[in-house]
Amino acid sequence: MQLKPRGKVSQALAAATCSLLSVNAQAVDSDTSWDMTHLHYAEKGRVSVAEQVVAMEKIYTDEDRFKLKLYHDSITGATPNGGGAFANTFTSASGGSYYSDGSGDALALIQDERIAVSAEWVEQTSRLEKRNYSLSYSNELDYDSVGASLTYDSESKDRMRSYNWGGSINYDVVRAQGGIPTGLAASTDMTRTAQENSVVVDLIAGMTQVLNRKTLLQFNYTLGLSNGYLTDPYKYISVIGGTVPLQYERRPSSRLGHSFYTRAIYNHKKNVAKASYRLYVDDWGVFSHTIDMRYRYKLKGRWHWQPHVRYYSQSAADFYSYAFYREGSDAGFPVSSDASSDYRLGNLTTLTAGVQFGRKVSRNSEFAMRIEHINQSDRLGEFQSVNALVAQISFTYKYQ
Amino acid sequence: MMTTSSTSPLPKTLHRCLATLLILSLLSACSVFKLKPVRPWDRDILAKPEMQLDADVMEAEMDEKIYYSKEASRGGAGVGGGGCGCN
Repeated sequence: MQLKPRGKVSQALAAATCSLLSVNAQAVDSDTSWDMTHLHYAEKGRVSVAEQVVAMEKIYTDEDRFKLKLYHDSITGATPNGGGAFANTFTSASGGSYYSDGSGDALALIQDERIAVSAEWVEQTSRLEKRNYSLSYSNELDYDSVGASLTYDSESKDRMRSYNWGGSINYDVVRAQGGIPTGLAASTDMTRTAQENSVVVDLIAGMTQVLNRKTLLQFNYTLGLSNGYLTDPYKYISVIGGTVPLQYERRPSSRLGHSFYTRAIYNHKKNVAKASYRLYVDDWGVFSHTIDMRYRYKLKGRWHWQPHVRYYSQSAADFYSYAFYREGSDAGFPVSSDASSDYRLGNLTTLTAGVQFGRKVSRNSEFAMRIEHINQSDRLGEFQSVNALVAQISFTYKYQ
Repeated sequence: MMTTSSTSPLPKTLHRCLATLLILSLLSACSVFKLKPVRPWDRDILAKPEMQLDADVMEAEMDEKIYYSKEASRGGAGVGGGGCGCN
C-alpha cells in the first residue's frame, strides 16, 4: 500500500466508469435500472478516499434479474502505523513512508487504487422463492480478493414473513509493498515473504416480518469465520522496556464472529423511520454495539431530507494495547504472543451524524446527496481522535 | 509482564446476557403475538420504495465499507463485503 504508480488497467476502468456515469437516463433500456454514486471520504490530516460505483440491474420477463456493479476507488494520505508510543522516532517525513505529525501518532503514508466488479443473478424459482448467486473480484496494488455467494429467500403464503439464508466465501491474497514482514519480528528485521492469503466464510440466517401495513421488522444472524493471514503487514507495536522498541504486529490466524442484527422500518404519515441495532462478538474479545437511526421527511414537492445518527462502541481485542510494557522477569524480552496496537482493535467509540437530501427527478429517477461527520475516539484517550467528513452524491433510475 | 488495556462500563458477561435477552425477546415477539394479515390491497405503504429493505442501497454499501475498514466488527445486514486491505 506504499507509494507506487498504478498501471493502465485502472485508468481504463476509471474511463469506463466515467462514461457510464454520463449515461442519459432517457437512453437506458426500459427494463433496466441504474445506480450511480460518487463518494468522498476525508479524515482531518489523514487519509482521503474517492470512490465511484456504477450498478446496473436488468429485469427479465420471468422476474429473473441480473445485476452488475463496477467499483473504482483511490486512497491517499496518512494512517496510524501502530508505533504511537515512539512517535518521535518517526521523523523522516521527507522521502520516508513513516513519520509523525506531532500530534502523538506515528503515521504511514499510503496511496492505492482499487477496482472491483461483482455480478449477481437472482432467479425467481417460484412465486414465493428466489435464489441469489453472486461472484465478485477486487484488486488493489497489494491485495486481491475473489468471492462467491449463494443465498435463498422464501416468503410465507400470506406474504407476512420472509426467510433468507445462505453463505459466502472469499479468498484474499495480501502482497504488501516491499514484502510481508514476519509477525512480531523487530522493525529492523528485513526477512520478508512475497504473499500471504486468507479465507473468509460468512453464513447468514434471517427473517423479515410484516407487523402491520406500516411496519416491518427484520432479524439476521451472521456467523463469520476467517482463517489465514489476518495481520496488517504495515502495522507496528510499541514495546516499552523490551530489547527492541518496535516490533511488527501479529494477529491470530483465525477468527470466529457472531453478529445479531435487527432493524425496524416504520411509516409515519408520509415519513419513514428506520432504526437498527447490531450486536457483534468474536473470539478475539471484540464485543460491540451499533445503533443506527434515520428519519426520512417528505417535503413539499419532490424533495425529502433524512437526518442520520449512528453510535458504535467496541471493547478492545484481547491482544490489543496502545503500547506493550515489559517489566519484572519479562524486562528486556520482546513480545512473543499475538499483539497489535492498531487503534481499530482498541476501546473505540464512533459517533456519526449527517443528513441526506434527495429529489425525485421523474417518476422513476431520483437524485440524492448527503454529508456526514464521523468521530472516532478512544475511551482511554490514548490515541488521537479521528474526525472524518463523508460526502456522497447518487443518481438512481429504477425500472418500475 | 505484558499488559493490555481494556475498558467497559459493564462487565462483559452482563453485556452478553442483556444482549442475548434482547435478541430473544425480539425474535419471540413475532411468534407470540397473533398478527393480523395485511391484505394485498392494503400494501400500498409497504410497496413504497423508501419502505424496502434495500432502499438507499448505495449509501448502505458505502457505509458498510467505511465502517468495515475503520472498526473491528463486521456483518449484520448481509453476507460478503470486505474484500479489501482497508487502511
